[in-house]
Parts: sequence; C-alpha cells; structure tokens
Amino acid sequence: MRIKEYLRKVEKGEILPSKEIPRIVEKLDKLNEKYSCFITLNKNPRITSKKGRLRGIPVVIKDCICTKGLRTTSGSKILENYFPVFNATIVKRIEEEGGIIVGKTSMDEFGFGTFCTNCAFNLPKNPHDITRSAGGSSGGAAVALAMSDLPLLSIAESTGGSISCPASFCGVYGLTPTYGLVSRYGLIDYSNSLDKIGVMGKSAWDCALGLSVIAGKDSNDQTSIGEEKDYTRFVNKKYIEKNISGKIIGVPKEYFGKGVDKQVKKIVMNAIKKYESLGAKIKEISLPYTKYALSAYYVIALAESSTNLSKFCGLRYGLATEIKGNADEYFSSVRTKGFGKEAKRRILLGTYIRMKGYRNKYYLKALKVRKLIIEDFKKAFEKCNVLMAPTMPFIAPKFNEIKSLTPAQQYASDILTVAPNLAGLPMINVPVGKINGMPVGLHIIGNHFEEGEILSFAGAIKW
Amino acid sequence: MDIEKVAKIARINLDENEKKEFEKELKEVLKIFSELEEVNTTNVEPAFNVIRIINISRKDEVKPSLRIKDVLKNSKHTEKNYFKGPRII
Amino acid sequence: MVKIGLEIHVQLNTRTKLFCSCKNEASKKPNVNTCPICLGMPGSKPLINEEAIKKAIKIGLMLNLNFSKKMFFSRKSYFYPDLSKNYQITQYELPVGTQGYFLINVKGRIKKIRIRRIHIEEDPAQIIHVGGSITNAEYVLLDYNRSGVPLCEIVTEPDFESSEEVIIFMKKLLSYLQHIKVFDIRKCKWRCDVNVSIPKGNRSEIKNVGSFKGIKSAINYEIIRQESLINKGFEVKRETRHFNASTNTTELLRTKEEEIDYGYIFEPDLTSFELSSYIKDSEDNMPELPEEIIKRLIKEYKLSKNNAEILVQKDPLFVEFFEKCSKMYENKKKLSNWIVGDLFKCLNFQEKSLFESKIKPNDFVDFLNLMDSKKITERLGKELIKEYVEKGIPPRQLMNRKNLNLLSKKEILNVIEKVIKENPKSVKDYQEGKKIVIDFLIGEVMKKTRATADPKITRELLEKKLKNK
Repeated sequence: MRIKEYLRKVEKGEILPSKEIPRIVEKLDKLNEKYSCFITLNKNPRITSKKGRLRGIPVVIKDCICTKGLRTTSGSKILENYFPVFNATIVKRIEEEGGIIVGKTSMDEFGFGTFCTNCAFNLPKNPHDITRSAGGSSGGAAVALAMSDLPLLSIAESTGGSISCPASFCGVYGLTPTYGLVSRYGLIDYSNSLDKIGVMGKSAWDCALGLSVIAGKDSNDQTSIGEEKDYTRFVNKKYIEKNISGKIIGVPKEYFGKGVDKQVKKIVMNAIKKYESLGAKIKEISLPYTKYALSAYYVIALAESSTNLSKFCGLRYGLATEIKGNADEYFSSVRTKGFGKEAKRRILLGTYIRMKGYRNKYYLKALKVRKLIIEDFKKAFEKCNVLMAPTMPFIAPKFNEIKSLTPAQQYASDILTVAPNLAGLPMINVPVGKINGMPVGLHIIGNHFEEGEILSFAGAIKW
Repeated sequence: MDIEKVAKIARINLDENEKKEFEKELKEVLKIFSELEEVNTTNVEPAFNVIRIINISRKDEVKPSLRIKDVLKNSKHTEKNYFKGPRII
Repeated sequence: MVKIGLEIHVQLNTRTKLFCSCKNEASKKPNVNTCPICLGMPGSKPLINEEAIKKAIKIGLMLNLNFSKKMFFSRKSYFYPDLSKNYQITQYELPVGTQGYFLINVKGRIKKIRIRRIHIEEDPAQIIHVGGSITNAEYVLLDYNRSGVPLCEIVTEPDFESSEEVIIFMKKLLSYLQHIKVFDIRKCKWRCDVNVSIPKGNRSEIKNVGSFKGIKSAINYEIIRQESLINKGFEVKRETRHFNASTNTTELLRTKEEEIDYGYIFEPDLTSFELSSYIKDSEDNMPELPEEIIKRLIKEYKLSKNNAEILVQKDPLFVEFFEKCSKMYENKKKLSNWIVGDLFKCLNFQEKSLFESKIKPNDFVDFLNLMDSKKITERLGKELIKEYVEKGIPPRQLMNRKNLNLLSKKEILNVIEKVIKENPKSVKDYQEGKKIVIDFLIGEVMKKTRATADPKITRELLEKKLKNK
C-alpha cells in the first residue's frame, strides 16, 4: 500500500494505527531476518493521537539520528548501548505530525562507506539480489522500503551521496535536500559542513511529503535556513504539466565518462530524453572541476569527521572499559576496541591532513577547491534549470567484488555524487530502469533551494 | 606518513600488521588527494559554509538544564553525581 | 632585558554559557548546569551566545582594537578529560580583533602595552584529582558545570620588562573589565599564561597562573632560572612550564618537540560573523569608562583627583564600595581618605582584593562612626582596620571581643601606675628634666592598653602623676 492510500484509509477510519502499527512492526521484524536492515526495531511504539500530515504513518529512521529513549548507535560498537536523552528536531517534527517511529535502520559506521559493508551490526542485503550491496551509507533505509509494500516513510542522511547511492542500488526515490534546509540538531555528525538529512520513498510524492514535515529553520541548529513549505504541490499533475515545458536540462559531459558503465549510461540517457517529450530541452554542459571533487570532498569530510569522533573516549557516554592506567591509555583502549577498521582509517587520515605542515596542502586547499566547484555549478545553473546524470557509475556490486576493492577504489565509486553534495545542492534519485534485474538510478540535481523543481521533474514520469 | 605519530595523536592503538596495512592503504589515498595541487587557487576564498548565512546567534536567556539522572544515564563510570575518569598522568 | 608577554583568560559575566543556555554559574552540586551541548553528547550542536560576542567587542573597544572584518570559530583538537568533545571551540585564524593597546602608569611614566589579539573560546570542565594531585592521583572526578563558560582570551605583545609592570597592568585591566561590566570579580575567574624570555634565550611559557602573587613569583623564578642557565653556558630551550604555587617554582611540562599539534579546522556548526552591527550595539551600550568615572567622582563628591584615581584604578570594587558607603555617611572626603589611605594600604600589604577581604559597606561606615563618636581613637582605628582586612571581622565585633572600648580615666590611671613601677629609670630621667621621656612612657601605656587609652588624656594624667612623685 502506498502512503497516500494509507493516509486516506486512516482518515476514513478504515485503518486504526493502534492495531495496524503492531502488525507492521511484526512484518518488519520477519523481513529483517532476511534483509538485516534494522539495528533496532521499536517493538512497543507509542501510538499518539496527533492528526497531522503523517497521521499513523510508520516511519523508519537511519540510526545516526537521535531518538529519545530509543537506542541510537550510528552503526558503531562504540555506541552499542547508547540511549539519547533528547530527540532530534526532525524526530520531534515527525511525531508532532502523527508519524510513528518503528525502527532505526542499518548504516555504515558513522556514515563511512559507499556499500554499507562497514557495519558493526546488521549488514543489509539488497532485496533485488541478496548477494549484492544495498548501497551506503544509508543502506538499511533503502532496503526497508524496497523489501516490501508497506507504507513506510524512510528518513536517511547524506554526506557524499549516502541517500542517492542506496536509493539507486535499491530502486527507490531518494531526496537529498539543500544543505541547511533540514535541521541537523540530533544528527550524529559525520561531516558537519556536508551532512544533510533527507527522505526516501516509493515515489516523488512520498519524498515531498516527508520533506514538508522535516524542512525549515530550527533555532537549535545555527546553520539551518529556510521556511516551512508544502512540497507536495510541486508533484501535482497540473503543476508538472506547466512546469517542465521550456525548462533546460543540463547534462554534464564529465558524468558520462569512462568510469561509468556503458549500459548505465544508455539507460540514463534514454530516461533523460523522455523529458523532451514533455517539452524540456537538453543541453550538454561541462563542469570542469569535477575531477577534483572526490579529493576535495574526502579531505574536508575526513578532517571534520576525525574531530567529530574525538568525543568517543569512554567518558560521559558510549563504550567504556575498566578504568586503569592514565587518560591517554584509557582513551586509546576504548577507541581501539569500539571503532571498526574503516572508522580507524578515516580518523587517521583525517588527523594527518589537519596536522601542521599538511594542513595548508590538504585541508585549506580543499576548502578553496570546494569554492571553485560551487562556482562551477552556479555557472551551470545560469543556463540550466536542472542537471541530470547517472546517480552511480554501476549497479549494486556483489559483496565479494567489494571485498577485493582497496579503500581508494571504494572511495572512487562516489565520483558522481560527491560534487553536488560538496556544493550542498538538492538532488533526487529516480529509479528509471534495470540491468539484469538490478536497478539503475537517474540523478536530478537542482540549484540551492530548488527542491520543488527537482521533485517536479522526478514526479513527471512514471518509470 | 608517520603512522605511529598520527595514531598517537588520534588515541588509537595499532598492532604491527595494522600499521603496515594502513600505511599502504593511506598512501594510496593520499596520492589521489595530491591531485588538488594541480588546481590554481590563487585569490580563491576558502568555502567555510556552503550557503551564505552570517551572524546567527542566540539571546542570553537561561533555559532548563538536564536532570542529573539524564546527565549520567549513559555513563558507566560515575561517583556521587560526578563522572569518573582515569588519572591524567 | 627581560621580555614578558601574557595570554590572559577572563570568564565573561553572561547569564548563560557560550554555546548553550545553561546557567553560567558555579554550583556546589556537580553537573547541575549541564545539557547535551556542554556535555558534548553526540548529535548536539553549539549555539553561540550573542551577549558573549558583544562583551568581547566591548573589551576590544576598551583595548583600542582593530576588529576583524570577518570573524569565525575554529576547533582546537586535543584529548583531555575536561574537554567534553576532546576539542575546544575557539578562534584561530579569524579572531575578534588584533593590534590594540592598553596604557599603564609605571612610576609616573605612561607605557603602552600592545595587544596582539583577543578571541572568544569555551572554558573546560573542572577536574578533581582523587587521592593526590595531578601527578599522583588514583583517578579523577569530573564536574561539567564550568564546561562551556565563555572566556575572552587577551594576548599581549612581549612588552613587559618586569613582574611589577605585569601586576600594574593586570590590576588596571581587571578593574577596567569590571567597569565595562563584562567581568565580575565576585563570580568570574581569570588566569594567565606568562611568557618569559631573556636575551640569548628562547621563551618559556608558564601556564595557568591565577593570582598576582603567583605571577610575581613565577616571573621572578623564571628570570633567575633562565639567567643561571645562560651564565653556565647552557641553552634556554623553548618550553611549556607549570607554576607550582606551594614551592613558588616553575616545572617543565612539555618541550618544544612535545608540543601538541592542535590540527585546527573551521567550526562548521557556526556561521561566520561580520561584526559591524555587533560593534555598533556594543558602542551604544558601553558603560562609563574609568576616565569618565574619575571626572564624575571629582564633580559629584568633590574628591581630590588623586583619591578619585585610586578609587577607580586600584581595585575593581572600590567605586561601588565608595558609593554605597556614601549613601550612609556624610563626610565624603574622610570616607575617601580612609578607603584610599589605610584600607587600600592594608589590602595592598596583605595582597588581598576588596572582595577577598569581605569588608562590607555597612560595617565600614559603622567603623567610621565609631571614630567620629570617639568611642575609639584614630590610632586604634588604624590597628583595627589591619585586623579587619586580615580576618574579615568588623571593628565593632573586634572591639567587643577584646574589650577594646576606650578606657576610662580610672582604668588609664591603673595602667599608668604599672608603667611607672616598671620603668623607674625613665621616671627618674623625666623628673631630672628629660621631658621627652614622657613619649616613651605614653608609648608603654599604649602598648599595655592596646591603644584603647586616649593619648591626650594619658599624657595629662602621666604629667600629673609624675609631677606629684
């Protein structure tokens, strides 16, 4: 059942959330045994009587977002038994609108991963083929949607592509809003200048509904900006008809290069061409700084995340070992035990590039390159309304293929998503086709605060 | 990269295998990062924030603090409402 | 020539902490003024306090600072149990401002101390070393009430040439900070890192000195230590040292090679600041600067320039104290003389501030009234005020405790009898014409009566008694 239909039935009284939700949770529990997409299921959710826009909707939340009283691990052993004493702002907003939090979804530890294989707990499996990756780092969020027909709203998070990638691999819609549009209060940080909370759904409309509830300035996050808005009207048929015609779709040639699978390119290009029949025009453009986006992204993300992870040291919260030895020994023992390999790698790299003597070369340099990349996009949006490209360079890889990749090769898989994430642009993955049963995603990227525009394109065609 | 030095700063213990493994992996990644040197960034301002927002601050008004039980809730080591920790030296 | 520079940290007297709305207030109960932000809980985000920015700017205005066009915060990373995130949010490349100055009066000469920069940062938590000191404790207990309290760090150029100059500067600075209402000596703490170097040597940084006594001892010890190294032909190395208040020495903390690499990055959870609107607000709300207060005291209370200056510049609380006393006491001149004279001398001698001495306006006025009504002599008054400053016990209570009421004539006579008996030679000398000996005998009476005998009456009675003999 789709969310729209579920809401209608709840309003009519045909579905009673108090009865339906426990049934849904039971189903999720069973499915979880097969697909491992939940770290924590909320087996006794409080069913409120709030009659808002999400009345009675079961909501699943990526486990890096704090839910008061409900275990939140950020996919890491170091927070294995952590129970936040406060709610993230988006959780408050969802509950205010009648949404019911039923589970916390699997993820790469602290968001560190492209394939959701760096998980301390459940490693999620792609419902289209359980020998393949669900995509990362919001793997569980995408799997929870793709594995059944349940009317779930799935909240996820993206730093370098962590919403787009799993959405692409699992064949669902995944919306990453403009940086700052959705409050990060209560989001366990990966990289503060890059993290964005977003929505996954079975349709553009679902994403629009979710965004309408969570978006808008929050006084608890001083980098948040934007008014609350109803985004579902952009997915309205009449609006779409008027909107698409005459618009210019920019296709960046750098996103169709050698590193992208031929079949993926073909499927995505055909999908883009379909918009011509709705009156849009296609224009080939160039984003010359694209090749530096991967480095700039990783340098900044690693620098920030290595400081964010310093707080986990066995004091105040989180994993703790026996207190013996001095502070340095204690901190090291806790951190060595609690962090996975990828987390350690990133902390080491992130620490190195901030050190005296390297800081100028890497960290400060990357900040400047980021500026150039943002300007690249700004120039493109002077001529185009949206940009379109493949979301990922290939379909979901098999787990054993991933094992043979070096970290550098894994990082390189992000080439298509890092640049718009670095620039804080809104983007949405649209499932437009399949290769051997595995989903292929079209990425629609908009200018800052143009969520309405990309949603309207995303909802324009039924794939 | 002096991996021992970095690991010490980051408070992470590495065994000999890990040191070798990480050193190799990280070297490969750093090679990719050095591409950034190709870019001409003279007169380019670093982008601290992506969206231009300035001067956001809050009023100096007291709001309730956490109840002590919530403060200590997630800590294994506490003593008489203090957090307990290892000695410094 | 010695070169000394300071990095001064002062807590600001905002109502709430720097990055959260917890009370900026000390408490005997640990961890009662804490929240997810100042505890560094995952998911929390810093929320900068506008009042802290405005107060820092007031400090900048007072120090004639060049304000930065763009101000930004940074993360300074290091691991320590008192840092709730294991990084401190501070300012590195883009502080509040740079290149200011502050004038001090050194033995009549005006000296300009250049201010290199000022910036805003958060205070860490408090550590209790259980079972020993920092070097040999068993474990620690942590109280995060102080975590996140706003600090303004003021960095000077190495323009000081002696510990005396440093102390003159610090006293004037703290006084001015009180006057512009950004710092309250009763609640806010301050501490200094002191950098000392002598010619041919590298500089040492002495961390966390928190009193004037400590500053004096630390600097003087350091100068001697460094000079002796140079004299022996050794190098004075670049070091970070710790001041040991019980031995009055400095001890090595870290060598240059062991210096911490703080791995600074820009704080992405806070926006950047263009200060012009904050500067305008601070300028409009700038309290009376000390120069203005001096003028006002002279005009309103008819004080001498000297008294007015001492009241304003010597102790942050003198002006408030004086004005409170004035409401209860008519003779402003006498009042100011006693404050600026004996009270100030005693405080200085005992190296206490007015706040530390616990002297209250009510009791001080009562003390002056006691002298006016001749219940005690001025000479006794000078004695009592010493004890008052030392012990914090008001003179009236001191008097009652020791029965220090002025003696009656009869009581004085009794003492005179004793003195005459105990000093037969002096009595003989007096009677043989050495009249000046009477002063000695009066002194003896004073000693025995602890100055509770009125000297004039004593003289009269003595003269009478000695004549009769």
